[in-house]
This record gives sequence, C-alpha cells and structure tokens, in this order.
Amino acid sequence: MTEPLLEIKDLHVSVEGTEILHGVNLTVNAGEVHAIMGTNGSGKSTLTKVIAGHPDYEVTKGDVLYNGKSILEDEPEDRACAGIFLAFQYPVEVPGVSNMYFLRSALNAQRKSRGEAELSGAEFLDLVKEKAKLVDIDQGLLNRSVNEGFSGGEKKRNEIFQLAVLAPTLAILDETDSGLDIDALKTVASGVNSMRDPERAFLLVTHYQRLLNYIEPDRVHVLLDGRIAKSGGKELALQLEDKGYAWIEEEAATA
Amino acid sequence: MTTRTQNRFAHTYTLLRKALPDEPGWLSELRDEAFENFKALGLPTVKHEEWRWTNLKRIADTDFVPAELAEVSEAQLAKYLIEDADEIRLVFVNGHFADKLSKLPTIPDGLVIEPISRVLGSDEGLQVKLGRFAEPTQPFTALNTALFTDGAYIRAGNSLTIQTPIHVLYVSTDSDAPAVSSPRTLVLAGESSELRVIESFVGHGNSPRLVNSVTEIVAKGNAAVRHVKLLRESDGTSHLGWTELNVERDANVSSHSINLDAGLARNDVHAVLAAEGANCSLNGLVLGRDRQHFDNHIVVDHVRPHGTSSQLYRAVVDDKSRSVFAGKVIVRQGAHGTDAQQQNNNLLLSNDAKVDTKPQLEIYTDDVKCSHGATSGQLNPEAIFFLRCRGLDETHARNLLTYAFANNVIEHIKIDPVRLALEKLLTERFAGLLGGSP
Amino acid sequence: MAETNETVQALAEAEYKHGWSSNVESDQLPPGLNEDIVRAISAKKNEPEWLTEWRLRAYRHWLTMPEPDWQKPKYPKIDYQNIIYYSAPKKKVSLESLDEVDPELLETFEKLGISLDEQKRLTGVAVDAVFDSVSVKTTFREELSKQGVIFCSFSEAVTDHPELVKKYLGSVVPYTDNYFATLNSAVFSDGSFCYIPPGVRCPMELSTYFRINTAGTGQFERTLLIADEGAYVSYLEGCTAPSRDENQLHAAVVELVALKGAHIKYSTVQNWYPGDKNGKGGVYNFVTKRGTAHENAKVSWTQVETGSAITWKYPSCVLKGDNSVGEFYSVALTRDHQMADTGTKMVHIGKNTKSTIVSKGISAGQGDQTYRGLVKILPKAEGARNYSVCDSLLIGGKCGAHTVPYIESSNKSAVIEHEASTSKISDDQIFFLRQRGLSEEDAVSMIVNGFCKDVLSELPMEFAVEAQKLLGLKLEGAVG
Repeated sequence: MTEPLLEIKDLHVSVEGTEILHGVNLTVNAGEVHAIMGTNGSGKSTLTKVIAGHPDYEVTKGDVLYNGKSILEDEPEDRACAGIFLAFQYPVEVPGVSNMYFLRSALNAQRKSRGEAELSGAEFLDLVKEKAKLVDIDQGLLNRSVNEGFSGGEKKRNEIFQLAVLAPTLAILDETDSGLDIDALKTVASGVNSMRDPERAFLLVTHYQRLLNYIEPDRVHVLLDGRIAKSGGKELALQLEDKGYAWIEEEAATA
Repeated sequence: MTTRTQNRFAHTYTLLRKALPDEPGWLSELRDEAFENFKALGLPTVKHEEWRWTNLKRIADTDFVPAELAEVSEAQLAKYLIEDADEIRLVFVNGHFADKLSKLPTIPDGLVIEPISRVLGSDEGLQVKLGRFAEPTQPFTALNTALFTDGAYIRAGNSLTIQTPIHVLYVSTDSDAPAVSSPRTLVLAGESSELRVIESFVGHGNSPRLVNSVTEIVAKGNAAVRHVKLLRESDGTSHLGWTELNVERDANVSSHSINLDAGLARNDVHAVLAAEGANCSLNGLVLGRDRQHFDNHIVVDHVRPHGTSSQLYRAVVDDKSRSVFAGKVIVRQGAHGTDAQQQNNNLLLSNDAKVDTKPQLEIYTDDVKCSHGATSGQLNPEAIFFLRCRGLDETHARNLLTYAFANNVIEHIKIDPVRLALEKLLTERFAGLLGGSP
Repeated sequence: MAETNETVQALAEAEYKHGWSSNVESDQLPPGLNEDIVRAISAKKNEPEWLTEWRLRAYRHWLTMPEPDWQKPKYPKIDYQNIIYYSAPKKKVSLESLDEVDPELLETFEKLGISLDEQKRLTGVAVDAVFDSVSVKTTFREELSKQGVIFCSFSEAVTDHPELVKKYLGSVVPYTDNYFATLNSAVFSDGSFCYIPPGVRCPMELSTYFRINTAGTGQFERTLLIADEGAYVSYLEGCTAPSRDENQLHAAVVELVALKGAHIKYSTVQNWYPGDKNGKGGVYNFVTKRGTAHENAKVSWTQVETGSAITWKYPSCVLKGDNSVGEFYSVALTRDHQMADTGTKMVHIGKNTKSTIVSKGISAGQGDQTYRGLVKILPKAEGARNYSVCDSLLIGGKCGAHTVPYIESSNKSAVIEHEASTSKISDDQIFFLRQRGLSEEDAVSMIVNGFCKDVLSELPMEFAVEAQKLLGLKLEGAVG
C-alpha cells in the first residue's frame, strides 16, 4: 500500500496556553476528498492552521506527517512549496499589491524551491487566463490589489483561483463555502471538482452541509471538542443535516 | 404636548383593540406592553439628539383614527407593480390584507408566505420571533406593535433558495379623517437559505395620514437576504419606518432604502451583526422635491469578529426639500477583523434645498478597518463643461450627471427586475425634474 | 508571532550600506562661526560684493533668532562653534575632464552607483555631484546647453549667470525665513543651479548627488531651480553620508520657481546616515524646501526619506498664480531610533488652485514619525481644492506614528478633503503570504511596497526602481 499523503497522529494543539485539539487522528490519501464538519469552536480552523504552520499554534503532542515526513518544524513557506495550500476562512487584504504580481511571486517562489524554471510574464499570463476561466473570476479583479475592496464572494473565489494557479498536492479549504450565495457556491464547487485528481487530496472544512451537495466527499469526519468524534461516508453529512450534532455528542459521551 | 399626543393614540389604541377581539393572548399581551412603553416614551421632539433634524409636529398635532380596508382596483395598483417581480405578491390596503389583489402561486415546501393574520394562531415561529428583534422599546416600534393590524410573514427553511422576488405592497388610500396604518413585516431566512423581498409603500390620494411600519429580517447562518424598500408615499403621508436586521454567522443581508416620494419620511435601519463573519450592505437613495423631508438613520452594530458592513447613502435634493443622514457604526469589544465602510454623498440641485449629515464611528476594539466619508455639493461645473464640449446642451449634461449620481446606488441592487424598473424610473424622474431626458 | 518579531528585529538591525568614508584630501576652514568665516567662505568662492553682503545680513539676522523647539523630534543642543562650515576636496577639479578629479572621489561616487563618466551614465540623466561642500562634477552640460538649459554648480552660476542668481536667490525662501534656512543663507557652500528657458522641455532627468564625507562638517548646500514660462524639468536628488559617531548637521535650502505655465517635478531619495541601532550618530537633516508656482504652473514634490537620525522638512508649495497646482508625495521610513517630522505646506493664494498631498509613513523598531501638514486657503483663493491622504504603517509594537494636519481656510468656496489611516502589518497578512510560498522577508517587503505604491509610482522610472530597492534594503536583515 502506498504511503498516505497526510497523516495526523494524536495531535494536541494549544493557543496561548489553552488546548484546542485534544488528540486528532486523520489519514488522507492522494486522490481523496475529506470533509470535516463541526460546530463553532470545535477546532476545525485550528486544525487547518496547524497543518499550514501558523506560528500562533503550538503543537504540544503528536505529529503531522506529509508524504511520510513530519512537517512540524517546517516554516509555512516551506510547507507551501511542498504543495500544501490553505484557502483562508477570512482572506487577507494586501493593499497596493496587485493580485497578478503577488501570485506570480508566489508561484515562482514555489517553482524555484522545486528546482523548476520561473515562469516568464507571458507564460504566467497564459496560465492565469486558463485558470481564471475555471473559477469564473473577473479579469478586472486580477489587476486590483489582493482582496482589497473585493466582495465576500469575490474573496472566496480568489482563494480558489490561487488554488488553481498554484496547483497544490494537498488543498485545505477552511470554510470556503461560508457566506456564499448559491451561484458563487456552485462556481467554487465546480472549480474544486475540476481539480480533483488521483495525485491531489482535498480537506474541506465546512460549517454547513450544503457544500457537500455540490462536492461529493469520500469521507466525512465530525470534529467535536477537539477530537474526531465520528467518521463515515457522505451519508453522515445527510444525517447531520437531519439530526444536527446533538446525537453525536450523546454517542461520544456514552462511548 | 406629549401627554396630549399619548391620549390621542390611546383613543386609537382602544378603537383598534375593539376591532380585533379574537387575537391570541400572547399578542394582546405584547400589544399592551408595547403601548405602555409608547406612553412612557412619548413622541420624540427635536430636543432628542436622534430627532433634532426631523420635526414631528404634524403628527403630534393630529388625531389619527385606525385606517380601514378600502377598495383598490387592479388598475390602480398596476403602476406600482414591478415587471417580472410580481409572480409572488402580498398586497395590504391601509394595513389590511387584500386577498384579491395578492398572488400566491404554488410555493415549494419549506417556504411560508402568508399575511400575519392568517397564521397568528398556527405558526409557532411567528409567536417566538415577532417583536423580538425590533423590540418595542423605541417610540415607533412600540406604537406599531400596539397598532398593527396585519402584515407579511415570510419564512424559508434551511438550504432553500428562492430566486423569485417576493413583493409586499402596502397601499394607503384617502380617508375622511387622518388615519394611521401600521404595516408589519417579518422575514425569517433559515440556514443557508436565500430570499429576495421587496417592500413597496405606496400612497394613493393626498389626504393626511400616518404610515408607521416595522420590518424585521432575521438571517440564520449562511443565509442570504436581499431586501429593497421602495417608498412611493403621497405628499400627505408621514412615513415612519423601522427596519431591523439580525444577521447570523456568515449570513449576507443587503437592504436598500429607495426614497422616491413622501411628504415626510423617517427610515431607521438597525442592523445587528450578531455572529462571526456576518455581512450587511445598507444602501439608500433619496430624491427630494418640493417640501419633502427625508431622514435616514442607520445603526450598524458589529458584535462579533470578522463582520463586514457597507453603507452607501446618496441624496439628490431639489426645491425646498431636505435630506438627513445619520449613520453610526459600532464595533464592540472583541469584534476584531471588522471591516466597516460608510459613505454619504449629497447633491443639491437648488439653493433652498438642505442636507444634514452626521457620520459616527464608535470603535471599542483594535484591528478593525473602518472608514467613512461625506460630501455635499452641487454638480461639478467642470464635468458639465466637459459634457457641453462634447456636444450636450446644459440641461442634458445636468440630467446625465444627476442620473449617474443617483444610479450609483441603484446599481447595487441585486434583484434584476427592481434595478431595471428603478433605472427606468430615474430616467423619467430626471427628465421631469430638469426637462429633457438624460 | 515569534517569527514576526524576528523579522521586525531583523528590520531594525539591517545595516547602513553607505557607511564607509573616503580618504579624499580636503581643504577646510577651521571650525566655528563668525563674520570672518562667512567672509572667508564668500572669498573662497570669489563671490561678488552683493552676495557677501547678503550672507552677512543673513548671519546677523541669525544671531537674533532663537533655535526652534516646537517640532516633535528633540535633539541635543548643537554647538555651532564646533562645526566646520567649509570643506572641499583639495585636488583641483576640472570641468572639462574627469582625468584630474581625485580617483578616490570618482570611486566614491562609483561605489554609490553614480558614475560621473558620461559614457557609463544612463543617457537620460545628467548629474551634479556634490561632495561635502562643493560640486565636483556636472555631467552632460554641453548637451543641455544646446537647448539653453543651464545646469551647473551654484558657485559657477554666481560667476556665469549673476543676473539670474541675483534675481531669484532668496525669492522663495528669504534669508529671514527660519533658523536653519537663515544659517544656510549665511554659510551655504555650494549646490546645484538650474535654469530652463521658456517653452523648453528639459530633455533629460537632472539630478544631484550629495555626499557628506569629512568628519565634523556641516553641509549647507543651496539649490535654485528656475523653470521659465512653459518649461518643464524633472529633477532628482540623492543623499548619503559615512557612518560617524557624532551627529552631522545638514541644513540645506531648495528654492523652486515655476513661472507661468511651467512644471517642476522635484524628487528626493534621502539616505543620509541614520545613526547606529542604539541611536548614536547620524545626520540631522533640517531642510527648507519651497516652490512658488505662478499662473497655471505646477510644482510637484516627491520624496523617499529613509535616512538621517532626524529628518525635519516640509517641502512646500506657494500657489501664487491662478490655476496653479501643488503636489506632495512622500514615503518616510524610520527605524531604530530614527525620527522624522515631515510633511508639507500648501499655501493657496490664486484662484482655482489645487493641491494634492499623499503621505505614507512607515515606522519600524523604535522609529517615530510625525506627519505635519498645513493647508492654507487665503481669502482670494476662490475655488481652491485640496486633497490629502496620510497613511501610517507600523511594524512592531515600539514605534510610533502621529498625524497633525492643520487646515486654515479663509474662503468658503474651497473644498478640502483629508483622509488618514494608521495600520499595522498584521500577522495574518504575513502568514497569508508565507502560506502561498513567500519568505517572511519578501512578505514584509511586498506589504511595504504595496503600501507605498501611490508615491513610488510618482518617481521617474529608474529612480522608482532605486527607491524600491532602497526600501527593500532598509527592510533587509534576515536575508541569507
């Protein structure tokens, strides 16, 4: 059997001295789509930030293996260059820096670290045109400052656009569906679906079951109070839609 | 004076309660409590900071009787309908449901669109939510809660997307004695649902009257609500309208207040961004003429982190009309990552027109992005000159610029038929105002 | 969080790249200031009697003035008797050829990236190089003179074009103007002079590079730029100094005269020695810069201020003629113990005058800066308009930013708009850029350059690149 792409083992994480994750175990293979659901404060966002290497989160126990190697000591940019991409829950604005310039710098930094040639302006432009179509992003937005003055939907779409251009091996989407209207949700979902690939895995963190009507996950996990309380197939998501989270809490309490 | 006014409305209240004998107990209690509040609060005067630019003398000096249902023909209604936005409509005349004028085609499961009067006894959601957001602690929300006879109740279940606009028309008609009607709307959008709601307030005939409305919109997690309030009241009408928005986690609510006509109108919009990542967009347009008086008071309350809000209010005032804008953004402690923007622009077309503007920011946390700006002035002479150099005559140039100024607000309306109808209306309006079409 | 702090520290510790000094033999006057020194400076430059008298009048006036202390950056008292007011490279400088210039001096400028060899220069730029107190070389003079453009050192202008100097010297900044401008008027040693004849669009960028070298010297240069009716000129000055433990005083005066319909664009990239990271040494940069814009004329200041221990300057515009325009675009970066109190004055006198102010302040380490700006609308300035934006960016928690806008309007028809913001480079921004693959330093540099974009885009192309590099350099430290 081949090595899993991402393996999280008994992960304990603290922020400013408070433990948020109390032993998370999760294995994601290349080509799979996993959904992580859970209520407010269950630790979903923390999990995504720890994988990406946010400096505010302290791992007190356990490990995160990516392609079989621990990445906990790696800087965020090293993880990015290794193919880990995080779509932010609240995309960040960078005033004065154009989307195109930013993305080209990022892509070339990643290519350079992999020993690939940097893309020329023209090559980059071709790539951007192709990917912009994929996520239906307005060309005008590409020349504006990163996320500045973008609507909520445009910001989320811009995250998926970056995902498409950077073409990572592990894509983590932190509530990319939140706050989107149905049309924007469909666009985001079709962008993700078109990028599904035997070499690539997705970790979808979501608060709302609706996303899973448009992106079909291989596995669904419920994060409850810093642990994965239940895992199952996509039918688990439907059960959650019907019954809410209370029954899982009860199950977890009696287990 | 205040006491006299309360007594006046006390009489109105007694009359109204007599006319509605069969209401459920919870509502009677709610009404009694509300009316007690109103009596305690009294009518605000210009000495109240929030009312310093809007004088309610004409309300204080008038006896109002409860407005009664009157006959309105389809033909009379026609001009207030919006092409392609009337598939679903609820019509109320003088605060009473007009069954014949309304249109409620088959609606999908999970969606409720009814006059409040029909579901009073049966819908639990209504009892739980009504008056819980627009609490009867302000004089006019209290008065409305005490006096309302009927209104629209719209509820969408989880993950339900309704792209067909729902048009609620509140029509008032002439009466022998000055009458008060109290329209009431409650919109409940379930998790991840989408709704589009248009409220039209239209006045038929010019006799003096008071229309005192309350609209409550609740958007649960991830829901999206697009709301437009169209004001087309007659010159005899004093319109007081309170719009309460409660926006939950990741939800998006837009509310546009389009003030086309009214003798006197005061709109209060109170938006509470109650949970993380809640968003609202509040826009308004005032087109004032003659001696019309418009007052828009906005409060946006950022309670939780990562909320965004934007306000764009514009007024075009001509003749002796007056526009007031007061916008307050509150960012509560802990509401970090808030992005709040406010913009108020005013265009004065005559020397006798007047605008008052008061933007306010109250920020109790750092790591926020807040901006506000206000301008008032006349059309840019250089822009007029430029257009004339390109061959337009002066009137045409002025029309075009005025139209563009106003249309900037209309462009934000994401309900296509409404936007198109308003663009058309603007075209006609400025042709009429200034002669020649833009 | 921890890593962000490291970067901030790295920024604060990045070293000054122009801190070396040159062994150029110099001809100096003894330190100290009195009427004899003033006369001696004037004599060394073979100045006419009227100029010597003008200097003396300034000196006598200076004696009556108190040293100002209203500005935010405070500094230890300067001993004016301990400053060398005149220092010049000893070897005679020939204007015809570079052969006779001290090779050490040439190397100095090469090291700064400024070649005085016309062959090696970018063809679009003419340079006047000022070393301590005197101008050592002005390039491309002949080519410029074909169009009637005069570009030379101030001393040469006094000899060759006395009528122009006499007419305009002190016409914008009178010798009574302020403490440091008055001091400059008494002891100024050299500087650049430029005159663009009517209707001429100066065919290349003009630039002056200033270098303070000798220890204990003050630099008091004086620049006078006149654009005659309908003329256009773009001018850039760059400044560096060696690292020395004691503070050095730089009190310059720049006067711009834009006659009817003329347009002067004046850009500065200031990188004087800022002192070490403990705040020891560094240049006191107390400069008076002002331009007068006549009818339909335009004066535009762009500055990138990254050096000096203390920067205290307010490039200003006197909008005298109807329809004249003033602009001020500024980026100021302070770190370590640097302090900057800078801004502009826009004085609207004529009708329909317009001014734009865009100020971007960046504070890192324990840097502290103040934007101080005055917009003054006089009663006859019908239809005057001003638009100001002042943004501050803080890097780390120990720095400070202050915004002090003064608005005085005496005309009702004036429209004045002011916007201000203060923001921090947020951890979220840095994490976001790193998550996309950029190093922490590149992330900071990208954010800062984005913040300054509106100003950098005003600089002439090649200098914009230079300024961007300079900002990068200033923010460097953790690289490698």
